[in-house]
Amino acid sequence: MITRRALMVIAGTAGLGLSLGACKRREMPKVELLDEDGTPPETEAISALAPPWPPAERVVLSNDLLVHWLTEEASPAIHLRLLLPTHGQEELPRGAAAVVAEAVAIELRRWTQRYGTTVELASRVDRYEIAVHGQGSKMDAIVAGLGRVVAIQEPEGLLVRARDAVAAGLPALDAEVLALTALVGILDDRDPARERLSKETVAALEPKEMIAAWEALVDPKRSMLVVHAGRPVDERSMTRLAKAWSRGGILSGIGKADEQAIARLRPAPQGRAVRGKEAERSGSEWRLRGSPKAPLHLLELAPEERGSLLVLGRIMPLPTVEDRARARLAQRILQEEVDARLTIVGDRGLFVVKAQIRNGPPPSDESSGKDAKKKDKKKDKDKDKDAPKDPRAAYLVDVLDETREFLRARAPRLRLAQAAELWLGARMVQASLTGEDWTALWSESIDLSMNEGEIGGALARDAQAMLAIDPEELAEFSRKWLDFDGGEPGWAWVAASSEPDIAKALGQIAKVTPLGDGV
Amino acid sequence: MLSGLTHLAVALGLGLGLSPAAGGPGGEPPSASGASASGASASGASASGESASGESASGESASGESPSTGSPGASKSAAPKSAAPKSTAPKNTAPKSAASQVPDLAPDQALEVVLECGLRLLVARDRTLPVASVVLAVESGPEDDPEEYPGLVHALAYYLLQGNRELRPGESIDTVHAGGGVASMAIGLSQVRYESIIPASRLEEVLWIESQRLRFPIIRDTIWKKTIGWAAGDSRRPGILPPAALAAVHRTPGLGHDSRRPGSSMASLSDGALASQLRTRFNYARATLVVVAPNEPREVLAMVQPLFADLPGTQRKVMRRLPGARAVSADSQTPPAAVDPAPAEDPAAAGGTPEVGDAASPADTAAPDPAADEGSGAPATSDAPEPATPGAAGDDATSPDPAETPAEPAVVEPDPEVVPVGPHKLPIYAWSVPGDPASNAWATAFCRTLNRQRRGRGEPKALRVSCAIDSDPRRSAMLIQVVGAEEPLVTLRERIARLVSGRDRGLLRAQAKSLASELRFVAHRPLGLARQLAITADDDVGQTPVARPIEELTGVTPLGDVASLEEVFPALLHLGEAVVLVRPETEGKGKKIKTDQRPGDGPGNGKKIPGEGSGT
Repeated sequence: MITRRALMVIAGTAGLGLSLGACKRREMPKVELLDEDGTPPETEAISALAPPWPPAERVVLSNDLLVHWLTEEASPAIHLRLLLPTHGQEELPRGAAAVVAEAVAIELRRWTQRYGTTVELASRVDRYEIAVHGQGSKMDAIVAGLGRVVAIQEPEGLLVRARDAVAAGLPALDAEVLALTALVGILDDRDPARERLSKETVAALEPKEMIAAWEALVDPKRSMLVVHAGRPVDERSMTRLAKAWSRGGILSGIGKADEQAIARLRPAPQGRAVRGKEAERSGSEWRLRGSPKAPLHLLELAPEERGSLLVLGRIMPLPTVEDRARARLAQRILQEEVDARLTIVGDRGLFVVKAQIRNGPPPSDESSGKDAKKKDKKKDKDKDKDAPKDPRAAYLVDVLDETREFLRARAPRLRLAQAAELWLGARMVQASLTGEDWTALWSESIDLSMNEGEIGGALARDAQAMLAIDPEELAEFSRKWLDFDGGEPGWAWVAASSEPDIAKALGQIAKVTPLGDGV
Repeated sequence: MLSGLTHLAVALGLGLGLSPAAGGPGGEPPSASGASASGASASGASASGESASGESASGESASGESPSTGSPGASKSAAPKSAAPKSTAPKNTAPKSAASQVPDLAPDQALEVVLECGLRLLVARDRTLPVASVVLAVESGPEDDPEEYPGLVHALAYYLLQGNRELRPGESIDTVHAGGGVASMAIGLSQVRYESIIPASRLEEVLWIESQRLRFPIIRDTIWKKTIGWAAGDSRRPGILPPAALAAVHRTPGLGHDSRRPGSSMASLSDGALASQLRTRFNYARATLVVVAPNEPREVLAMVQPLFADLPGTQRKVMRRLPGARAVSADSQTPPAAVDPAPAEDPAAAGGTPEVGDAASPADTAAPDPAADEGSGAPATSDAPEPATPGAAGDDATSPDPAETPAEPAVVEPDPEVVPVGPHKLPIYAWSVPGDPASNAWATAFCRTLNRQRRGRGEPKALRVSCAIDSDPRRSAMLIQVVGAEEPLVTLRERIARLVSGRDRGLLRAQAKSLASELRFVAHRPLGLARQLAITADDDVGQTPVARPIEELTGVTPLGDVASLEEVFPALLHLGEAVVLVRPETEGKGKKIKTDQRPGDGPGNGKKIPGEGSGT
């Protein structure tokens, strides 16, 4: 039995421990250089296609905020990028995270615009990013402004304004959004409705819901700050920021926070990915027209909703930098023919192809630049008795056939080099045009990395791998992962259309499965 | 994890700052598509006009334009297929004499030299990203249009995108796009710029393009007619003032036409005349090539020199664009008379309105120089007010009342010239800003300070003084409106006096400092710096490479010293140097136009200057 005196001793000890812990947390944070693993040697080609940043300084502030600091000597600019992860917050109502991010951006703009800053809000996979770009001479004031924003204790009014701003800026849900969300939902076994934001959904958010979201997302233990400045870590401003964003003083030291950027920003695998062998499948177990045949999911839209399209896609494992580079290059090459997108996060990639459903001639007839071989193939196809009778279905079959043939073909080496240089060069040019902001590139580097040490060299490795791709390797990769008829299973497809007899037309291609409103 | 991917899909669809062409979470660099960039440029950039500071995204925003609107020959495909380096592009050869004379450069210095062919070269280093910016600025503009061919230079600027014996149509743009870069064109009133931003690995190719751009034009009637159509497709100049008002402010009749509406007479231009106009308006002796790259400037010079070595030796032929009637060559430039109150040398030389007169500085406590008054007694137009000698002014409303400004010394200054032009309800006091970065910078700082001045003692509560800059690299204008004052001219005179020597001098210093910081910020991007360097004045440049402080070139250094305002832009301090733009219908027949408030122009009723604040 514990006596009252013993309880007091325990309580006193615990209190002392907490106090000591809290004191310890308030010490000057330790700044260390981020280790870099396997950064390729700087060749002329790579140095022209990757940023020349030095090793980043890494510091975990006393409030557990993780900071990556990139120093560019004598730069007159400062760029701050606050990363607010949204994963693990499934209990939050739809749209709440978007409202919180908007609120941070609005308030940050208000506090820093007098210093000539620009504030931008961006959405990346599983996180929102709010970036401030300003003059280096105003760094203290800008960081102080950030501190004021994240320390807001009563954000209700701000959140209401942000909610209205988000709702006003949202377009109506169209066929593309509905189809894409449905596709990813099928591939990853998620509720697609959760990812669809409509004016009504956002406008219906209650203040208490938004406040809960603010408290959950604007949390230094979960967040990350990337800084690009003309001087090394500024301990004074960082200490002030930590103090302002302490979330309740003494208790701020309690609780575990990941000290690795990737652990903070990337959720642990879940859904299909953790179900043993199915993790290898990375999504569904179907092929589109090969065996086993995937059902064609159909979203029948109301007549007033415009748009009629087909999206198909897969999630593929990309464990190595070479795989990621092959996937990117394959997408770039394919994009010359069709609308193809690729999103890479860590070791997984989402590949999506979008095609409009048209009631017209096959695409091969539309373009005068096609070579003779394609025309011959078309003629052969026309002779095929199994060709769909409905012109829309025939059009889609033609698109799919051409895409597949294109993927199976071996691209000449020169073409690969051109595509790689275009992609890599554009990445640097774009970064320059948007303000020479290293933090945006750093964020991209995080997505291309598997561990903390890879971040600094991720873009250089990406460039190196892309420039080194062999045409045969790429063709093999495409056949295995991107051939939706004969490659690895894992495909799904969704059509969204308001045309009344579209189900009948698509039935000539595959077995059609209607999707309800919720999917 | 992939909920985020779904989120991406949503974000792409919902436009939360990420569109497929604008770079999505998956890393879709916007111009990577080259698609968006494809063709972009020409029309987009020119359509977006000009910016004196170069900080606007006029060129950059061009990337979203449709190729069909004026990017002849540009590839329409998402990935330009002509990525192969031009085989004829000369490779880097051994540096010639000038390269060997290159001084050691500090990081804050640029290399400047005039090549034998008359081309001026400016090279600066930027190592933030492996990206280079190349700008070829030609000192020709719509201002130089022959009277019978309005819009000619604008159309000629497009014609140069049609290639020549060395470049196929659109090749200059395709080459940039093939490397993931962005190409654009900007047409100012007196300067045409071809801009590109590219990965540094493509620098040699793009330099070769620029070395060919102005050569050997191929003259074809069909191409010329198409070109006129493209030029006509551009939107109007996005400035504040209409052409007639611009011409009045700068006292340059050549600015008085809408240069983006080519006249029908141009279609009938003979091949010979077209070739002649191209040779005259677009040649390397009128051009400046600016390169901002991670490379050593010495290395860049060694790349550039051989590319132009085959051109014949030529004297540089750049006319400095001076305000008003003083538009003479740089050699004979006369400083405006606020500091040296000498009369204008040849008031009618440029065909502009003769000067009304010069004035003593408000800070000058000495009595006005009678000689100056004599000198300024050039024939005034019928609209011009009488000299504003105290007691001699024809209009009390426009003359300073010494009782109102007891702390200031007596100032003898003529009233500004009044010109009945423009749609603005209230009079606009307009100054022509000399076409150099320092003057532009001071005008901007001055303007901002005016906008931030507090109300003085005795000034009505409703008084508002607002200032804006009509931006152009060579032909900017500073515009001021006074609302709610009984005697606007007096108010303005007092406000200016307060800035220069009164209690607001500190405010002016603070604004200058702030602007300097902004200019540095803009210049930390290669394209921003290249644009700033492209509008620098090329005085005293020879064929020996020299190191020039970048901040001196870009007008940042003078901002550090308020006293330099009087040296850089003395006219700014004097109302006698301004032009008052009034709406024509307010002109009384045979009478002097009052510049004060008119009936109905109560406080807050004044028409705001369109785009007010845009330049400040």
